[in-house]
Amino acid sequence: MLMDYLTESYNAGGVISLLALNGLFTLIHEHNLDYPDFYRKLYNLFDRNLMHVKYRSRFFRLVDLFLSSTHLPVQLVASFIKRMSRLSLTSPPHGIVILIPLIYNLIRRHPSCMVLIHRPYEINSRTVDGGHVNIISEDPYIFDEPDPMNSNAIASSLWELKTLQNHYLPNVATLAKIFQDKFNKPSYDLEDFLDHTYATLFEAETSKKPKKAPALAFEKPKFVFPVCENINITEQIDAEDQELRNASIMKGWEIFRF
Amino acid sequence: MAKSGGSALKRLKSTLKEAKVIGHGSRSSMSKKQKRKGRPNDKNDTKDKLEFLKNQINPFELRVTKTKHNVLGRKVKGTQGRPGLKRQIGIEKRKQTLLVEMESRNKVGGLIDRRFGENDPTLSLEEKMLERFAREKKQRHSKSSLFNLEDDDLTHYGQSLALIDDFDEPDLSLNEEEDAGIIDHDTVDKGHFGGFEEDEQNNDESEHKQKSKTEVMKEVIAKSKMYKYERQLVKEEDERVCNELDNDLDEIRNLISLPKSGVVPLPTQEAAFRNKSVSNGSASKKALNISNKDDAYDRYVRELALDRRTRPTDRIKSEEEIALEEKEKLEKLEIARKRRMEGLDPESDDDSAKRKKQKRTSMADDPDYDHISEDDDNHYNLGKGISLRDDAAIEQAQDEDTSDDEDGDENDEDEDDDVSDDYYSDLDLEASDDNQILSDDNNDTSIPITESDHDTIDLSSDVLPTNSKNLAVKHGIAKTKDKCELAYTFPCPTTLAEFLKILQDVEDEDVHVVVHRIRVLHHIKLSVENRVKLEKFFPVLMDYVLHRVQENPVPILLINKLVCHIFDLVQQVPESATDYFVSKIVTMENNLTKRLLSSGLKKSKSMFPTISEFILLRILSQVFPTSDFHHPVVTPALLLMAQYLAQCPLSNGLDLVSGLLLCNLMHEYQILSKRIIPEALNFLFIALVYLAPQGTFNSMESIPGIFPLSSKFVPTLQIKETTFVDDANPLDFSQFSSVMNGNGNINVFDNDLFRLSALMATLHLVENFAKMYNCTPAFSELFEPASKIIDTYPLDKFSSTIKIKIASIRETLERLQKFSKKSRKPLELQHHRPIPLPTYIPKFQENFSIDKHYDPDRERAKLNKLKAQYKKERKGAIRELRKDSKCIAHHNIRKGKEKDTLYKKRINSIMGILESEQGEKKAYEKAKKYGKI
Repeated sequence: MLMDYLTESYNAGGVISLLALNGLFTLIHEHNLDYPDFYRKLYNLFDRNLMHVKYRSRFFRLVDLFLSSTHLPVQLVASFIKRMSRLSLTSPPHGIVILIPLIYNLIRRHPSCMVLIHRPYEINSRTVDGGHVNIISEDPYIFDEPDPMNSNAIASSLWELKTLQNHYLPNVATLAKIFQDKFNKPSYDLEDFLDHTYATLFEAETSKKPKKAPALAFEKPKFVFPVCENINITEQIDAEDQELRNASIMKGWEIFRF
Repeated sequence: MAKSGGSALKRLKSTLKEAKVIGHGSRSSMSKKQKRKGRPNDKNDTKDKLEFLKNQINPFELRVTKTKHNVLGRKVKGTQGRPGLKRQIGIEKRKQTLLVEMESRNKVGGLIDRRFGENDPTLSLEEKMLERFAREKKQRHSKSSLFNLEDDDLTHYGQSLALIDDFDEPDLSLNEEEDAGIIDHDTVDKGHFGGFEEDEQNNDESEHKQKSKTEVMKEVIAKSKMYKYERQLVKEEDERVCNELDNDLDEIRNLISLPKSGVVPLPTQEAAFRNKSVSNGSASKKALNISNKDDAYDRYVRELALDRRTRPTDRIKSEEEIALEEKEKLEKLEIARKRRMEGLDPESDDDSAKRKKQKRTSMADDPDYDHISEDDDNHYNLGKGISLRDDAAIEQAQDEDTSDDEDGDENDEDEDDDVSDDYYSDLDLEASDDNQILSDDNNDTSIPITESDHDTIDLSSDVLPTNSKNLAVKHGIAKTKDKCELAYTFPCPTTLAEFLKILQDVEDEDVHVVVHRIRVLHHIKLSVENRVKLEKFFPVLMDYVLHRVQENPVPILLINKLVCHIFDLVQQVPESATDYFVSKIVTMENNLTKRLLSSGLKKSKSMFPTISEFILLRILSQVFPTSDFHHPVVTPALLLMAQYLAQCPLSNGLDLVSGLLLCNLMHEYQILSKRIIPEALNFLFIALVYLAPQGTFNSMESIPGIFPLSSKFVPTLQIKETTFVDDANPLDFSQFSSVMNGNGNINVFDNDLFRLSALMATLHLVENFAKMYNCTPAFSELFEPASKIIDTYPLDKFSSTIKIKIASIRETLERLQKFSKKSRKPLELQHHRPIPLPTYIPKFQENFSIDKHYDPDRERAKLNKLKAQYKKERKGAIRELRKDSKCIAHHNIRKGKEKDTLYKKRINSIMGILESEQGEKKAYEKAKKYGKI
């Protein structure tokens, strides 16, 4: 009875699936429930809104548990990793902060997934026709493929993480740089990263006591918002020049008229 | 040496025989003749031989350590030893040092015999005496003339002093104070020290032989008098010239002051001159006496002397030099900025070295390889997160309301009925959930939040209760007044009210002049308190700006002018300015969370920042460097803006404009550092979806991309009729601000013209962001949704101009994507030296020697060496001390024995005497008994 209920909920998708997951896991784990396509469905739960919902920490606790097995096929793990890194591109900082340690732990646990972040030249150069092709013009990963075994993620690379190394929040950027360092850490404790929100991150930023005087800008600003009248019209210049100057002043603010 | 057996005596005998000390060939065996004839020092020869024999090694005294394997050519120390000899040497040494010391202990003072040859045993007594006598004699002889003045003459410069007559010295007659150095060369040559001999010789030679000493001296005196007279003449001439100069001083002064007309002379100087001129004038008129005049002159000279001298100032720099300096300064600042952008310390250059060192510590062969450093309890700088206590509070709150929920992980109290079936609506409410947690926190600390939309603190209204309308009226009144002259001095205002009072009669154009004057009057360099004043003035100025922008229309020109002053003020008081900005941002964040919380109840109010908050964020970006990797003000501001973009629901055109403004701001923030802001991109993509013409997206699944999306579309944003509108305008900021300030009609954002304008603005921003990020490896993933959305737009419905624009933007995006895909390579992030596995194979050493120490750790090796040395020394010292005490004990025993024998002897002799006396007595008594009696 309960199994049917949970399975139905799980298949329903969205937040209900997330919530059903826990119960389902208990059944599988303790009552020997045989559940087909469990990972496939889990994979499909990673959708565009996942990182933005409030159940993410609860969900990722479970995901961490499910993916902690070392007996999973590499293709599956790679698919998960790639999907998570793809999602991290659109997620808020607190979401990225969950994903990065999770990906790190997965790569650490499955060293064959290292090709996702490190694909040396030699391996690539041996293509079918013998040519040296080291450029992947299209990402081989298929995002919309529902089956994680067929998503071809293992042939891809995690460019998203490289991009995130340049995230606006320094903490996230630093965290994303762990993939550049040696894999010395056995694993990250995910609990440290799960419960963050904008508010907590903000508090952490503002409550830091500055050690030294803050850096100041050295270019003197001319205006807050560019206004055409701001230009000195006393000197007579021809219209073309005027336009050029206007353009240089309005640079970056073309879409507004002040 | 005979090696055969036999007793020691026999061996000795044979040895002696061999050495020809005894037996055949020995001296005693020689005939007397031979003896006399041959070797004269034969006696010594025998002695030498015996000595030699004695020194020969007695095998019994030799101790040999047997080596098991004899290696050719190797010398091992300590295989042979002569313990007896060693012991003997030690005892001898002790006798010479220790025993002597012991003997002389408790004895103070004493005599040291320094008589000649006393310690030389080779000298006989006679020789000693003889030598001593000779020495004494010699000594007496050499010392005899020291104080004997009679025998010798005292000399100076080889000449007898007796020849010089002191009283004829030529110099004595002259006046001391006037003639230093006026005696001519001749006199000096002849009369001064050492000159006399020559003089004498000259006298001997020349014809003035007869000239007596007195004559010479007279001549000298005459000469010196003449010189004196001449000097007096010169002095008089000088004085005359000086007087002339005095008289001409007025004219000279004119000459001096004329070229310096621009320069204000120092007051003392001027006074002195005036003094001078006055006294001069009076002198000419009234003929005052000279002494008075001189006094004035002296005073003047003294004043001049005391005046500070003009120093050469730094050379005025040429234009090129100034430009160069400026350039260098800017370059330096730019380098510092870049270092900060990379997250490095701008000052130190050895960061990379330090980093290397840090990395080195985590190698595999290090002992703490697997050890995660425990010091990062700050959870990788992410802050605390939501603590357990908070969780407990949530659970508690949930249990109270939804006690029937068995799982406990169902829902919050707000939304368990209607929302739980609608998954996507969580999206909007998730934000409120985040903040719900916070509010739970607040509840715990017994701060009730009721109607929190009233609690939101406006950035400026907390400072001043008067609303903006009031103020506008006031300003209107001010404008009607005649333009009056501005005052030149202002007090430094400490509150906004004071500042407004100052500005009551001031027109907008002159506000920046007032601010400028305040800043000049209270410049930080002028006084110490000015820093405090400016620190108070800065928030006032900021508050004023934030206050004024709430007017309608926003006085942008005024603000543009004021921002320069704000910038300069921040340069002067950076710390307090930072505090101000941070506090403002924190206030904004609090407002946002409160508004988000209340959004569940009321959806009327926009969550996006107000105009003043926009202005604050904008000014902030101009005052602080936004490209820094981490900055105490900019980073929180960015986070806050991202939160606005991510969590504020986009419900009408006003929100859209606010969001676009924020996106534009963020773009400006990151224009140098080009950091990724997912929130901004998400917002833009969502806006694109919302703005899409009706019927473009019919279902959720058809929307490309993976950005978060709520299922509810905003009908007011959908472009309905596209063909009517020919061209899109830039968004009107004044319209926006007036609506934001509550004066405008929100309906201006509800027509197709606006929507098209917004669409164009959004596309423009997307393009800008795309251009900014085109170097990042995941570029195509980032912007794929945008191009796909644009692809789905029904371009035919738009008018031609807009169609062209959209197409061009799409083309740009596609081109950039193509380019980025082409240049993309698989990641190679792990180009490290492979982590070495710990090895357990022993390390082999070539030419290993057991005596050497092969400790790779230098410090440890050093320490071990020192320890061994200490041990060795200690052992040696103990052994030495033991031997010393043994020696002393021996000595004591011997002494005691000697004493005992002496005592015994004495007792024996005494006893003998007593016995003999007793015998005699007895004999006497016997005799008495038998014989006499």
